[in-house]
Amino acid sequence: MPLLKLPGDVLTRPERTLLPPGSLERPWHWLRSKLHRPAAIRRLGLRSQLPGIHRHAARLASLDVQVLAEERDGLRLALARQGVTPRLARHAFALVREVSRRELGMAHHDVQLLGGLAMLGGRIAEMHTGEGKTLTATLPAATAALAGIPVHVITVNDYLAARDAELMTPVYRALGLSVAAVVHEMPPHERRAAYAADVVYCTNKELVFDYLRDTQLLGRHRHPLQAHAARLVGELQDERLLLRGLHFAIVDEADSVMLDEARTPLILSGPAGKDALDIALLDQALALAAEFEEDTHFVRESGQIHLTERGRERLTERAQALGGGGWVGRSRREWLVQQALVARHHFQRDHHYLVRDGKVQIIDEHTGRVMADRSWEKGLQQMIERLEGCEPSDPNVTLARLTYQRFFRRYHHLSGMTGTAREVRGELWRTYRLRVVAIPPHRPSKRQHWPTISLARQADKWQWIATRVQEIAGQGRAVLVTTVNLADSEALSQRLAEAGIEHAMLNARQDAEEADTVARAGRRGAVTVATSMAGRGTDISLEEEVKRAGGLHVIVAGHHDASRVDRQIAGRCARQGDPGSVELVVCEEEALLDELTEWQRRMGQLPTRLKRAQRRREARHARERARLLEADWREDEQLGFSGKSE
Amino acid sequence: MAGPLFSQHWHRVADLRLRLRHHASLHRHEYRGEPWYVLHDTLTGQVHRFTPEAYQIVGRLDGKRTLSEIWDQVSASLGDAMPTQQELIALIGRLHGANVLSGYGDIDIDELSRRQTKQKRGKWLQLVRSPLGIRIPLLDPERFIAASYPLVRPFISPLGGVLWLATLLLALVVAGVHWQSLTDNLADRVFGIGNLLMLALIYPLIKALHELGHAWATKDAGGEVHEVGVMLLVFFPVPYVDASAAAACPDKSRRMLVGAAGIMVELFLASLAMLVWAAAEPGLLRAVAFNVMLIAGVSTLLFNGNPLLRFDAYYVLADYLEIPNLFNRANQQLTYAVKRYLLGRRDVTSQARSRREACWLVSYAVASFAYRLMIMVAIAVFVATKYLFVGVILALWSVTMTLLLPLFKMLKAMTVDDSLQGSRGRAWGWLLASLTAVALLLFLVPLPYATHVHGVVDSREPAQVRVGVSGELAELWVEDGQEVTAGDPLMRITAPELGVEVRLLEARIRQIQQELVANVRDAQAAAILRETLVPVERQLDDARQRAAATVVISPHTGLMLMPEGVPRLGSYLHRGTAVASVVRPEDLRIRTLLPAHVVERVRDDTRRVQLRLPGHEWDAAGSLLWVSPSSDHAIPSPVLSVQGGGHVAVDPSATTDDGSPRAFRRHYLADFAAGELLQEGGSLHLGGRVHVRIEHAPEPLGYRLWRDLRRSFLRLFEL
Repeated sequence: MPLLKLPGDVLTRPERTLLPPGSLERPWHWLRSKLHRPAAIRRLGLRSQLPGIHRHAARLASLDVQVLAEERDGLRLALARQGVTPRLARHAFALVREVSRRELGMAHHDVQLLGGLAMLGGRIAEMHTGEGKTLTATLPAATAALAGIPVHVITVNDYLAARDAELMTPVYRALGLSVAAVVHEMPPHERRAAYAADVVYCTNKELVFDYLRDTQLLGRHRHPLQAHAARLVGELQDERLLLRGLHFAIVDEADSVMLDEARTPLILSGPAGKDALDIALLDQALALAAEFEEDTHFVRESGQIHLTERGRERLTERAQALGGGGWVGRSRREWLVQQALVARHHFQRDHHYLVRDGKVQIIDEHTGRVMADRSWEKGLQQMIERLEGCEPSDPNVTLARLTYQRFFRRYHHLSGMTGTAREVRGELWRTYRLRVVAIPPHRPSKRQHWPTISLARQADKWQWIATRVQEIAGQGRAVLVTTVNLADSEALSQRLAEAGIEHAMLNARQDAEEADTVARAGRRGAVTVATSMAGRGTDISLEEEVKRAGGLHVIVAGHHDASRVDRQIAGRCARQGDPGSVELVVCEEEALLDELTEWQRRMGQLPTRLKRAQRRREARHARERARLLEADWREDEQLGFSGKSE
Repeated sequence: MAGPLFSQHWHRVADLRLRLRHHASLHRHEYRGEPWYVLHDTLTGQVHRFTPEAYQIVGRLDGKRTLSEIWDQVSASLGDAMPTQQELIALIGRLHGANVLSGYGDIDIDELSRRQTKQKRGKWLQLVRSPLGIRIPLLDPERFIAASYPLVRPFISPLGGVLWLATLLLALVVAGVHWQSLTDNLADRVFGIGNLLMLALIYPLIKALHELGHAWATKDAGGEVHEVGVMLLVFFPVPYVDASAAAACPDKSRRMLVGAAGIMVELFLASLAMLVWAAAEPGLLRAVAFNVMLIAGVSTLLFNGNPLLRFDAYYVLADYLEIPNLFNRANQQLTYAVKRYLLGRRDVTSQARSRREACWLVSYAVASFAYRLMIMVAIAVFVATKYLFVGVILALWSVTMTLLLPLFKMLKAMTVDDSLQGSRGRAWGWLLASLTAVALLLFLVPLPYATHVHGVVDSREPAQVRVGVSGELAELWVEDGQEVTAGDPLMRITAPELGVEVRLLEARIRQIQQELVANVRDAQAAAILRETLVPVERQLDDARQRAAATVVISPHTGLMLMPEGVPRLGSYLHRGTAVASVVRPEDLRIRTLLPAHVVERVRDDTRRVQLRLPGHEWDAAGSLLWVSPSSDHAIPSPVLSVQGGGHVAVDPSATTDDGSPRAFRRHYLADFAAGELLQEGGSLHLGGRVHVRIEHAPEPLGYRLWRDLRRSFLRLFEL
């Protein structure tokens, strides 16, 4: 079925309506996630379209600029009239390829064409790291845009969004399409202009927040007819609306955006007013929590803090002494103390948050980046601020909440690309109804996997890494060391400094200079220490002599939460046929081992145990996501009386 | 505290100003000494029960306050019992689901239509889930009930109660007096074709009165009845009324009365019928009365009177215990008990407000589950055998729905659901442990295993003692079971006519001899007389011989047995009657018929044989002598047939050539030695019954059950 053009304006805002899953739907899709055509057959189907594209391409290659422009306009008209049919799509792909060759000097390879076709078919293209996914995305994006469908290309961070938009602008411009990138700092009117472009590059967070802001503005007038009516009577200021509906999305790093980040819903909050929070009450709670002792008054179980019976008794006694409105109600005071205990014992400085300029800033556990505009809910932020001696910030109140699982499925056409999706193929189908197509690499990979190093202690690990870094950098190669979290990267950095090794840091604190650091990371003898996700999607370009010396060497200092992340990191080296090597260093003190029970921690070799722990954590996270989605539907059902959904 | 204090969805509801719709009214009830608030939707007749804490919220829904204001107020007023936001949302969601809320800012049309579709689908699903209990609503009887209520009203009073009780007691007394004639051959009378027809005619009438009883009582309790229909219970139509409106009545005894009204009406009818039956002459009236008694008395108590099924008595019990929704809450409590005590979870809340209530709930859940399981299996088997193909499918379906589906749900909860997260290990531990325990018990622990059959005393070469002459038994010198040697006199028969015959013949001879003397000159006549004398003398010899046979003599050495019982002294015995037989102890054996499925086991694995005579306490050892190599339909003795008190079913349509009954199924003959039984000194009768216990090697129960089950099914479905 061809992709059809839907009216795209801020009032009509087409999006797919989602119905709650029926009772048989889940088992059915579970079954379908297991049953699918073999990847080879699916690739064969895509491959059969290549000759057609090449035929067009051969014809287009000889055309001069003027004729090509006519050709383009004709195609655009045909696409607008008929929608994106397979025949027209082949034609459009050939045109985009030709334009790219002329404007950027890069013609799409066959595998990129395959990836583009897969995405146009509403699937996730699994392409190896460094295969040029950015260029690949132009094929479906431009094809859809030529047909007049607004396209969103979604990436993981602002830097990538801005960079990709900028890099590909010549292609789109030559095709007569407008491009824009939406980044965090943009004011609303610029955003609105950006979303009006044919192809929009943006991050997942910005997009969802903008979407939520729109729903806030629309309020009760969610239906296009209601919105029009409201505008006519002046109840709706449509000039403040941003998005033009959810038409066509290409999600870069799809596994990261759609799964890893989907474990927590996005919450749009607004100021609640000063009086919404009683700072004195928070201080009382913090003081009270300080009196509580671990294991007597409270226990920590699987990352959560629970009060014990003794703790409850003590709380009741003390609360009576304190009196006051905030301490009335058992559930309320237990919650208060629990929050205070979490603030005191659970969140650690430099691991969960940073203190910068007298402000507490949350670190994204996942990327290791600072999330400047985020704050914890319901007084927790203020409690931590009090503990750190900062000025308590204004409390926030939730305005809207949406899960990625729901948001992405509202797109009429959803597709994605990533380097690592095969592990989560089933989940992607079950959650987003997206199939994964593995695209073979353009050139065979020269990546060498060195054996895993197992050590006893954390300190040994840093020591060993320092020695190894010196050794490899001495050979004239570039070295990238990735750590699991910020604290680790700082510990390592300190160690390297002690050893007198010059190195660059790529983590939450240095995010301003990230691009420069990445640019320098490929130089001869460069040593870069990064947290897990910093630098995802960035291409570390190597100097010629580094390539000759053996390319980039990646040291993965400990397994991450998912094996996908490890693979992603390994993909930093040996890109596009370059040489490169990767090795894994682990020790007995890895936090990942907490996943295992006592007896399992003693069974087998360390790498085996870590693999097992990693599998377990992946399963746990997958379960959390499934639970979130399920709770989302269930609660939505319960909230039917609220008369609106986000 | 259940769950966190704050809800993530609070922002969606905080500013809503909701109010209860006008057709919903609130009543205060007391259950188990605690106040509850009952919301009665007068439009649908639905009833919802709330705690006083929830009432604090529900009562504040006036369309002026926002939910967040209500929450703040309630939190302040309730103190420790304050609800969490999640609880408040759940409560409002419940009200919304019950269609008693209004005052939304705008209506989510999609949600409304979805809810309607879901409701419709729910009805269909209900039908699909339980095809053996389909409800078909027929009409709204409210106007009839309202019109007829004043007529019935006087009876719903203490006076009516006394009247009812008096009638019932009187009927009971009368029934006691006529017990014998009442129960005589009940089965034949009930299942006669003519009577079945009458049952079918009377049944709907009685049940209609039963349901009217509920309806009037509901009216009396202040409710309305808007639905009467027919429920197809295992394809059998049973009327029902929707008396749920009665739940809004705050008086417990009134609610109980609504539940009990049906049974009371039927019992009253049965009592009246009893009195009529006792007074009437045999005829149509009496037959009708008998059937009314049967339906209204027996069937009501068996079905409606059982609180374990969700019929009348269940509602009465629930009202009596003041535990509304007993069934669901009992099951929830059971789940809670399992989660709390077996799995050691602390995040679950009990349904019960007191220990006593908890005990009630758990024991009810267990009892009703066991009972339902039993009923379900019985119904499934019944349906499967009656309506073959469709029946089997329906039975399988109902088994799936009642047994397999919950099992599947349990497994699902244990493997993929999140609700057991954290105690999954323990759950599996318990499941596997209990399964292992059952499996061990069934398949590893050997239990004594024996086959029980009836046998008959039989002799290999019986020497019959026959009476040589017809006459009265004068003397009996031996006892039944006594040892005798050959030639021993056993008994004497007096046959007075034999003596007369002898004397008559002697007289005849004397007469002939006299005549001979008289006719000495007439040579010709003398010759004739002499000729006559010869046969008469022969007759006399014969008569004398017969007269001598009045003493019965043992033909053999052995045990004298009288299988027909010891004849009474003075009783008249015909010539040729076998009064006893003399058997040698080594010839005695116990003959049994073995069903085909036990033969192999008896033949190969017989550890010990025990024999017991009926009415005796002690056992004698026996041993297996012989098992016939092939099976047969013949029955060696009527004692073994069902009619004779044994186990072997007789084929009513076939008899063997000599007129003796044939067994319905083929059996194997088996003989057991009876030596021990004799030494123990029991009085053994030939043809008498002996219980035989054939002991096999101990075997775990599971294998036996499996064999039996397999056999039953093979037989049941004739596969």
